[in-house]
Amino acid sequence: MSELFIELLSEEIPYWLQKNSVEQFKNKIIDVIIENNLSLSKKVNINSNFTPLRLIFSCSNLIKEQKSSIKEIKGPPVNAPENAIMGFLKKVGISKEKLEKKKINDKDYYFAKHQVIGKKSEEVIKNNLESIITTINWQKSMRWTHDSFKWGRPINNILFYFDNKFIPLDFLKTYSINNNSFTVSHKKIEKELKFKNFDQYKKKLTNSKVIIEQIGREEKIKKEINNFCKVKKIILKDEYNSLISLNAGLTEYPDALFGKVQKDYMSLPQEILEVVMINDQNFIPLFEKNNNLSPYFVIVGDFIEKKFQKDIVKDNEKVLEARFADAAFYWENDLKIKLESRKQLLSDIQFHKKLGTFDDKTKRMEFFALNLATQLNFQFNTNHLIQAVKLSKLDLTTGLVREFPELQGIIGGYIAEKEKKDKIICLSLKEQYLPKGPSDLCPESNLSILLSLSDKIDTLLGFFLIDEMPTSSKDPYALRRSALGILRIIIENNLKIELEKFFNNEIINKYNLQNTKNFEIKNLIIFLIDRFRFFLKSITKRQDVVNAFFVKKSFSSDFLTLYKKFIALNEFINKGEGKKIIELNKRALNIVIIEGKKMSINDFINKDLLQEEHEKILVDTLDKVKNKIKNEQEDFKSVLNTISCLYIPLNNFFDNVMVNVNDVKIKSNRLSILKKVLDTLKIYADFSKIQK
Amino acid sequence: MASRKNVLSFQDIIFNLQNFWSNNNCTIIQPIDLQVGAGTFHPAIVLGALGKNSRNIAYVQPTRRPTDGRYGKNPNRLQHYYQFQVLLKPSPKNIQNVFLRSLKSIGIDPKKNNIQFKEDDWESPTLGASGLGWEVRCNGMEICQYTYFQQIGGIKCNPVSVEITYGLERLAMFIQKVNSVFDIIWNLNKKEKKTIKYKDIYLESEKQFSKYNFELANTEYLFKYFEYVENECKELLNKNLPIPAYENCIKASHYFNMLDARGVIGVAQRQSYILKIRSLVKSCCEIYIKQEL
Repeated sequence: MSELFIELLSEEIPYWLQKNSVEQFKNKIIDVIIENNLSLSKKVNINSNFTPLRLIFSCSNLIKEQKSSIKEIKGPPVNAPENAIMGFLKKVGISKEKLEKKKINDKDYYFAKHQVIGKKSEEVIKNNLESIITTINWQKSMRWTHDSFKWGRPINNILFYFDNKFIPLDFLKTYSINNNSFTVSHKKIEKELKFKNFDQYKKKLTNSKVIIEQIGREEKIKKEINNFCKVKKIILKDEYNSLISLNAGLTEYPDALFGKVQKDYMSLPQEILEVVMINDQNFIPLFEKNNNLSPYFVIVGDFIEKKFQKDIVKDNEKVLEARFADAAFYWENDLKIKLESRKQLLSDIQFHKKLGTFDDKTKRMEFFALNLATQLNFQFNTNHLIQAVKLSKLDLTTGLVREFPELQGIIGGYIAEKEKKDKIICLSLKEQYLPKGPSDLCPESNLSILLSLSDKIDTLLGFFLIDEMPTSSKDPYALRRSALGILRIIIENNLKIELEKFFNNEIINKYNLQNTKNFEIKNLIIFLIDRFRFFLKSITKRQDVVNAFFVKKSFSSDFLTLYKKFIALNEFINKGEGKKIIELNKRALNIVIIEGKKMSINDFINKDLLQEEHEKILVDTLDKVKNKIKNEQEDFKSVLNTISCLYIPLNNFFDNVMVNVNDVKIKSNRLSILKKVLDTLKIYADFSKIQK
Repeated sequence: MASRKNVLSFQDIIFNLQNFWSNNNCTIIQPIDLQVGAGTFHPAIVLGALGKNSRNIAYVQPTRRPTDGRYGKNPNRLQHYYQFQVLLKPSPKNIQNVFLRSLKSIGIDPKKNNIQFKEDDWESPTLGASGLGWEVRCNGMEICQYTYFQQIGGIKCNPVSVEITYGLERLAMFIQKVNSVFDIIWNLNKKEKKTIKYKDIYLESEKQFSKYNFELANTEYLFKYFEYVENECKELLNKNLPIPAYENCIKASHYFNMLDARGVIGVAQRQSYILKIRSLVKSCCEIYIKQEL
């Protein structure tokens, strides 16, 4: 058995492209292995790894050579014109007397038996390698030395080993790409590494400061941070794991170094410090046990010898301080102009050409927020609400937000605090953009909810009104995120509101648009439902249950009720009763499908034809269940309890009542009963779509 | 500053880079004698990166960004500063190694420092140009840009060039370990034991130009200048003289930057000015490449 292993060595590949490209690379090679039967067992040991400079694939247990086989190729009919037969002979490369005849559907055809000689596995892979490498789909790709070669970043060398042997690749010459039999160490060591197999390759690389596993690099960073944190009695927050992954993807041998922020800057708002550290430098902030920012932060370097660490930390601190100094300068300046007196500046900032300035947006938001508050029966102080909305976007005119856009809202909140505005207002300003992503928290205070909802609704409805809806690949205004935010706020805060009714003409008129003829409210609701399905799937990981739930074409836009109904279903089907119902539903469906092909099944049950006790009981129960499903609007658990009452009568029906009787009238009536069972259950969900 | 006597001066950094690239197959040319917003504007790059002929050049380019002036008060920002530019066409194999060695020639040993290549794709809307590459950071500070040109003037680059831009002031601050650009040692005259600093040469100029750029430049004139050079460029294009036509694009771009610093260009207007320059640059490039063929 042979080992295959390939290394693509390149200039620095951006972190966000690494994982996806190595996955594609791996899958393409596996496809070749499978298509060409290069593996006998399913136990091939596949490894794919990456560093910023390398995509690595290795796999053991491949056969050295394909087995030879005989392949039968179908040719033209025996009575086909001579030139067609000649053409076939030419294609398969044998003489006419060697052809065989076979009958297919009463017609004679020529067949050629063709011996396929097994190729060496290395040849098969080698012949496919050019197309494997050049068809990796990069979201961003470039050309360098050779005009026709496009890749994520310039490739420096390609290494192909099979069966402990280096195999040269001729096609690389055309693209001026190196084809050395060795790899290189960490850049700082500058060594050429020779080896015979993947194991040696990995060992030699580890010895010269290259950890090829992303997870190994992540763990190294985490360990070093945790050791430091123990000593300093501080903590690393879980939410910064993604920063660790990023740093691990930017280094071949990460070394965690620790810097300290000068005291003077610690008085700046904490979020400013965090954003500057993270966005500018990929530094990882560390926290006190009370969740306040600690003065310590992590710098991840790429193989830093002890003796150089101190200087490197100092330099990094200096860069950070220069950025903090910038931020402090903006912060002081921003505090000089009162929030309220920024209103004029706000009318200079365009939200969208057709949707006006941010001042226009704020005016709409005020109307939307007051409307929402009334519909939601919120206890609220009208003055607070109006003030919060009016202040909400003013920080867009500050230097800090212009420099650090991700701080919008937060800066406004801080300035409002300095201006001694009501606390609840300051909080709502800071929380108005929540939730920013799927894992972000939702706002909880009434004022924050109203601000966030009215902002998101204004954006979503506005772009739909001007026909700027997202497409499958483009969502430039992040409307999916807005929609998901709206849904999560509604669900997590238990808000009952029918959105379709909220988007009424009075609301739409606030946009003062001349032309909205392409707008249909239906499209907006469909978009929201689509996001809602995505959300339900992401929290339950059950695509089948989501599909079972959304069988109808139209839905109410009261997402809270829909959510409760869905969750009740999801809990139900995980319990014994739910499973039983799924099973009986399936049994009923099978009979209805099979018999339905032979005769039409009536929707109407003729009670006079009911003979057996068990069918009478089932029909009675069905009526009760149907009533309950149709009329209960809130308590979905009790609906599902009623549905599980169907189990015993239905089971008894199956056990004691023959469907397939000679009397056609009775048979048809019994099929109608089963059909009614199915139709009744379907009012809640299509149980047949649920896998166990 | 223990070894201040042996520190590499600003002019030494330039000498060393020139020597290094000269020894690495480059022709050391001189800057364009016009106000440019970036070293890339040099016709040797914008026009030179087009076409099939190979070209390896390096030069220092004084650069102007009127909006970055801070009246000499900010330790990191200047309206006039220097870039060291390298253009290699076609992009050589393993150019990154050569680049790292160039850092060593100015006292930055990649083994002793943390050099990072941070994804930073480049785009110049006025030049209709774009490329993929990195910003190079040394211990967290951005010191260079390293870009593979993909297109210029809307024309696909074939072969592809690699462009390396060194921010000379940043480098000098890092090498000399000073916190303000004005404290950079420009020249260390060992015989006379005299030190010339950046501020001796440029502080007063920064103050005056900041005042001029932000407060005094006559916008009425600037609008007219823009119109003049725009028309001149079109005339020259009609006469098939793309090189002088392109120089007028450079002028137009500078007048636009000045108007921007004076804050008299609105959002929508801004876009239309950029588009005007871009379409002129595009025509220059198209005619230039036709002539080369």
